[in-house]
Amino acid sequence: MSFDYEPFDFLVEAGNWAIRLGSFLLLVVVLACLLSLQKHKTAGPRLVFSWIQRFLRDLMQVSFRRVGAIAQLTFRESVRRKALWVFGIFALLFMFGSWFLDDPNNRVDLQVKNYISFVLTAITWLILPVVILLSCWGLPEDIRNRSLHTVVTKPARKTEIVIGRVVGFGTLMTILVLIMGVAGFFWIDREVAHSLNTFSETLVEGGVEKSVAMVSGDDGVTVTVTVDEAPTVTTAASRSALRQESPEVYELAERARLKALNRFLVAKRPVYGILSFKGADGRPTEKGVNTGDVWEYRTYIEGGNQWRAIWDFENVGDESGSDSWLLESSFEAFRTHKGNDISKSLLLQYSLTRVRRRVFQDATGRMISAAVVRKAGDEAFEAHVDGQTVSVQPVSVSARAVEVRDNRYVLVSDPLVVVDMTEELRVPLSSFNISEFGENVTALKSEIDFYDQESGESKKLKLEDLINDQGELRIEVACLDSGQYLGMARRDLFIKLPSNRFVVGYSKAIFTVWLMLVLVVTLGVTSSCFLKGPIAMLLTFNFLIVGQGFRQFLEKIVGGEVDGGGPLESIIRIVRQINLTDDLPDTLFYNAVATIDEFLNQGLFIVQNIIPDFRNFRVAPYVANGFDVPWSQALAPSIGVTLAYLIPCLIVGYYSLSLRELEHK
Amino acid sequence: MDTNEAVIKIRNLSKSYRDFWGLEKVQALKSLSLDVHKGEIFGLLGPNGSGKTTTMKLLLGLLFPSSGEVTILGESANNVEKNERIGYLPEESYLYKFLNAEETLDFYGRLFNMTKAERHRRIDHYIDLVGLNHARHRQLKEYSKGMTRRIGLAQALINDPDLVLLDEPTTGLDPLGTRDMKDLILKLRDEGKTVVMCSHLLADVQNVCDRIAILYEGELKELGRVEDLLKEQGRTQLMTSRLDEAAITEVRQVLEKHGASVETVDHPTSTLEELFLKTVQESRDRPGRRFVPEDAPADASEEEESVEDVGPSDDSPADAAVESQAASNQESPDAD
Repeated sequence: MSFDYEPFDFLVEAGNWAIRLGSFLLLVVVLACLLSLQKHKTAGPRLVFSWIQRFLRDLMQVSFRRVGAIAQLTFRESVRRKALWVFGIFALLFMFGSWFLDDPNNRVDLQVKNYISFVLTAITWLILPVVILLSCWGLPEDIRNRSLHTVVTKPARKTEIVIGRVVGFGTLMTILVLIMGVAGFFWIDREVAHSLNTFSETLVEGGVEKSVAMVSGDDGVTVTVTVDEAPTVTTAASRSALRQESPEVYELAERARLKALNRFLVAKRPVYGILSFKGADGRPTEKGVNTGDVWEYRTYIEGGNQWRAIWDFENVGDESGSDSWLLESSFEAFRTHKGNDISKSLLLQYSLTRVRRRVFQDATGRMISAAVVRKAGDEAFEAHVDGQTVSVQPVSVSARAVEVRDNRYVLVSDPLVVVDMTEELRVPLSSFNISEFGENVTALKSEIDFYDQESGESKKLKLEDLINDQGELRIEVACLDSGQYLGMARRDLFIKLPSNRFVVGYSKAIFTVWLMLVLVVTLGVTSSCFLKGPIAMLLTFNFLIVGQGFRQFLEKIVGGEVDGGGPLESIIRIVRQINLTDDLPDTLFYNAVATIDEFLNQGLFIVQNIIPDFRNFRVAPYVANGFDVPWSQALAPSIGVTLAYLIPCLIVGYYSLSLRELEHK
Repeated sequence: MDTNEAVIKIRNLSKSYRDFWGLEKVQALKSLSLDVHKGEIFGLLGPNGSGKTTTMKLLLGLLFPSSGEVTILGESANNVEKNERIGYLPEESYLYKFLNAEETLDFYGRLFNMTKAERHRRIDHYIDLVGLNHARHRQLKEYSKGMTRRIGLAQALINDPDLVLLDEPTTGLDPLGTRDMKDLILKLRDEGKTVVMCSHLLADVQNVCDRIAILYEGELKELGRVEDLLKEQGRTQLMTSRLDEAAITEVRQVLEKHGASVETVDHPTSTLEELFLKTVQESRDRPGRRFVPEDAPADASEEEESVEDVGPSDDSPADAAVESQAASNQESPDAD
């Protein structure tokens, strides 16, 4: 299936990147020309352009042999500086990590989550300090020792030195990631298998369905094999004893264990829809009910009335011929009363709906709000605009183009235009009790049996009939328990495609870690071209910390969403003890402060655009929660970010090495 | 070979070092102008801080001139293409200590885009040339200073350069190594290469350089051919076989007739370098030979019957010390 909620368009992103980089370089060139005019008079700009020409020529004449030589030297240097000792720490962590992670009382899926998060975090944070140290200290040390003198006095170009350094450190880092990644995979597999003491699986052998349940603990192993509702119980002191005493049962139990293992170690491929709500009055609403949480990740629908959570899935038409789809959901319950039976979970119902969304436009293409449109014939529509009646044509719009505002569906591009929404077909599915602390999986078969409330008859319908012309399917969720609430977020319901093997998702996560480390190495080498080792290390580390942990805060400051003004205003507020929400007096002084803050904010805007968004590399939660790493949301952006920094870093590194006197300390 | 073709042209070259605030801290070079011709050995002389190394680094583009122009092999000093034809031996051997001799030369060979076969051929040749065959697989951090200079020289020559820049080439070398280095410099000139060396060891420069420039506090004080600069125009030196006192008196009388006077009469002495090299050569030819002082106990020589004693002769005690040193060098070729 090739649909994504937020597709990552490389061409569009590359265009944005080129515009930003181009603008930045243009600014730098203009500044350089102005500065050179001051120093070299009219020859200055010519000098600047000769330097640009020189860079391009050096870039064209890059020799792979020289790059290889510098990369190999860098690699050897790193190895001989004992960089590989990090494996020792890694081995120690893995040898004793399970002491602190194993918790027999914990659910297996939660333990699996711990193991995977631990491995990915350990790999990232063990290699990060090593690559930051090596990449930031390499060149400054060479300059300090003057070893670089013997390189730059050979025909090695500065571009080759920068690329060679990045490739050298990158190779070392790749080896570290690969070895740790493979070791980590087998460690997870072993630990999860070890944690799997209790399981129950159904195996089909020779057309015979066998249910195999195993419970193992300190007091021995019990395997129950049920065939045709006739259970056979086998017990042994341990698994090895079971293997000797009943090899057939042991083999059966091992196959069942492997199946159970694959259930926990999996890479689910979800397809997410667009979430909106209908309120108690049946009208669209942006959010559900807030039951008191400060964190509004989930909002709730009330049970027993018209509250609905609605997911619109796009581009599902291609897959409508599949035998069956799986819908997976995990909702959070909020109870206002115990109900008839507190031990019984809440009742939920899905309804599949075919909807038609459209807007109207007149002959000139002007959008006309559906509120003023009326039907003039079977296919003809007319609207009253400015006291005149004009004929209008309906235009279909996708779910993506629509949002809810003021309890109406409106166009995202023009909220004044109301979207005409028609429910053409509605199929309520059987209700079921949800698992409040786990996943609910519902199979949607290609042919659906349902009870039509209007006609009072049971009917059959093909799934593809519920998909509209634009390949969209709407799924409505209702809570049937009156007075109880169910919490919903966009990712709480998804269409589950056939899962990938765990190794696929895990490899993608390791690849993303590798991409992040490539970016760190590139930044480290670049900063080491113009800074000394400790300062280069601080700068790279700051890039990492701000890009990962403070990016959102930075965006809020730049966007003016933080109360208290800019840095200068904040200082004044602190010193004068003025509340954040109080307006400052409208005086010349405070206006000047606001202007300076605005100027500083522009500086922050540049910083925001320079610091890479390391949040794109945070993919461990996907794998730890049993999901595949999605292309559009994680993999493509992380590839994009890494690639985006390579060329600017090369330019900065080249000019930093070329315009400085390597001998001058 | 056009010996007047200028390989290096320096015109009004000045270099000032500035502090953090951009204020001039020191002027290392003041309006230097000179040419180095193709196929000559050119020496830059001067005391410490005179601007020799600064000139060298300006030629290589490691420093940027404050004013003036430098052309090297017809290219600007900042042009990387010129490095294809240049070999540079820095003042200290700033090589990668974790590499061994082979790896070092292989690395620099790759920087010149040489094929693997070509690199192997040259590595063997230059390691042999600088006498490091026995230590080719040892990391440079285990090398003595002299050995490091030798491998430094090998890396400077790996590309068979047209122009060789040597910064204090004999520093750290023993007299044998110094002699080898000087021989090699002369050989390079014979092969038509241009050599620029800077040194404050005047004897080294005098022996090998065709032309020299003397710098002092960043200014050019002398420039010309060595023999022209050293020749004393108002005096004459005669060198004869050994004369007795009567003959010397007669010579004095003859000279006085011509209005000249004899300033000194003495037996000429050879240089310490010549004595050292002669002693080492003899030690190689006759391994058992050693110096025994006149007042040494008689049994000392009897205990080592195989050793051929050489009694004190006209040699001074200093000669004995030099010989002893030479002998120890023979035993341990790696030590300096």
